Amino acid sequence: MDAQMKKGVLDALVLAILKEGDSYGYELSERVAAIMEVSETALYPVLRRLEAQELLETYSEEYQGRLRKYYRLTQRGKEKLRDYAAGLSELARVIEVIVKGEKQ
Amino acid sequence: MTDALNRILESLRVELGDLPEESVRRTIEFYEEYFADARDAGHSEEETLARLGGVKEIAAQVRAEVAAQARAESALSGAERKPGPVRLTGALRQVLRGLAGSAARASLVLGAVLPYALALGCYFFALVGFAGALAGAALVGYGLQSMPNADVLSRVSLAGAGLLFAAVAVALGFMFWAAAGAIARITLKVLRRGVRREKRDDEKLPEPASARRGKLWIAFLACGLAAALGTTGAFVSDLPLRLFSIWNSMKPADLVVREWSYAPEKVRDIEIKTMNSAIVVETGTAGGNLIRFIREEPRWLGGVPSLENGRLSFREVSSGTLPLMDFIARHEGTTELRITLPRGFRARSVSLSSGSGKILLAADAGAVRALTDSGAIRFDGTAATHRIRAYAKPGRITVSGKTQPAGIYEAGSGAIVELISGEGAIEIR
Repeated sequence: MDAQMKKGVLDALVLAILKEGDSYGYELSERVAAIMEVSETALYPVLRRLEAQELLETYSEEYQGRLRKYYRLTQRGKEKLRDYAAGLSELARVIEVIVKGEKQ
Repeated sequence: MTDALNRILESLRVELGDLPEESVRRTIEFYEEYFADARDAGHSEEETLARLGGVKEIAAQVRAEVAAQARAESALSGAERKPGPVRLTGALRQVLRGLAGSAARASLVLGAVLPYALALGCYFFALVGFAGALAGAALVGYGLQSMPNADVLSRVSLAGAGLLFAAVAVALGFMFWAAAGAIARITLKVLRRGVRREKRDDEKLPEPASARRGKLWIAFLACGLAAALGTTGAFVSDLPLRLFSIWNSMKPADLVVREWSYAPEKVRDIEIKTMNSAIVVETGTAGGNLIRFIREEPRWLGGVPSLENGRLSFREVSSGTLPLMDFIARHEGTTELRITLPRGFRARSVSLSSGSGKILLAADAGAVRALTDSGAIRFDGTAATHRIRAYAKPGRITVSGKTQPAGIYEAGSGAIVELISGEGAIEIR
């Protein structure tokens, strides 16, 4: 996938992952990596930005004697995800057609 | 914390050195936790760092993001404090650049583009208004210095009209500027969704809305005052009437020609007073022994000549068809009243008066009096046998082709010819 395109959907992907449940940096990174190949350093700026936009919020929980920062979707984040989903479902249809054409 | 992790975080701290402390601290915290979690998942620090692409790569990514956000933030808060076309455009550009590549950008662009365009349009009109005011002032200056002979009233009129124009233009400019500011704030609100407000100590408190409103009121009051002054100046003179007459003169003519005839032996004196029709009194060349009285009559003027005790008199009056009758009539200078005298006829006295029409007297007579507020007067004929007193100022007086000093001209002896023009020129042949 084109790097610019990946960067574009990374925001939406992070929101979608967090919709399923709160998560922390490393786990998020692993889950993103399982879905799409993207530079691991790209995640932190995205988290930083989404937090700045108040699409997600953080809280800390103790884990094995140290603090772990968890990310949680805010109400605004949920709305944003819905917007993205609506926009991207059209893209999904386009992709389906392209992939089908390639396979034939 | 392992030594390896310590070293990595320390070099990251060095790489991020010049970023705001808060950003550095949060980045270090994130990656400290990240490496610890990776370690718990069985990956060594070196391994994780290699996957991340190295300290320099981490720092570069953070730096790009922080810088973009900081630029966007400073552009945005600057525009929020004091919106204007340049600041607004800067804020839009920086916010969108900060979000380059992210999906958030598309929805921001869609939300911001319409109010942005509207605000820019309003700013444009505001600037046009301000420029118009300057142009008006410049024109007044030019006009005043290019009319050295004008009287005080004309100058007041011009200055007043210019002031009125400038005030209206400035008021419109302010209105558009205020509207643009309001719309700009909507645009900034949309853009703000993409940038978190970072609290800074040096941030000035926004001016309370009441103080801003106070300033706006003063501006409007000043414009109102200037407009009132301008209006007064314009009305002191007859500028509105002149504008009205220009408009009026563009209407199609709707005239009837009416004619009367009189036996010359019954007429001794002629007394004509028109609102603004031109008056021509001449000795006829085509034969005929009658005094012919021909007059063009527009729908809104009336009047019938009368002959009593040797006095042929006519007074042009409103026909009452329009409420603004006098107004229009006074400034309708296109109709003509013509009296043709038979050869050899000499009236004892001729008195002609017109509001703004020209007067042409080309006939012999005893005493002559011609009076017009703003028309020109031409007196042909018997200058040598008359004592002429002519008064025209600022108009010119020419006698037999020679220009006389403005003011009073007196010459000759005999029956008195009095020619008075308010603003028009007088020509004596």
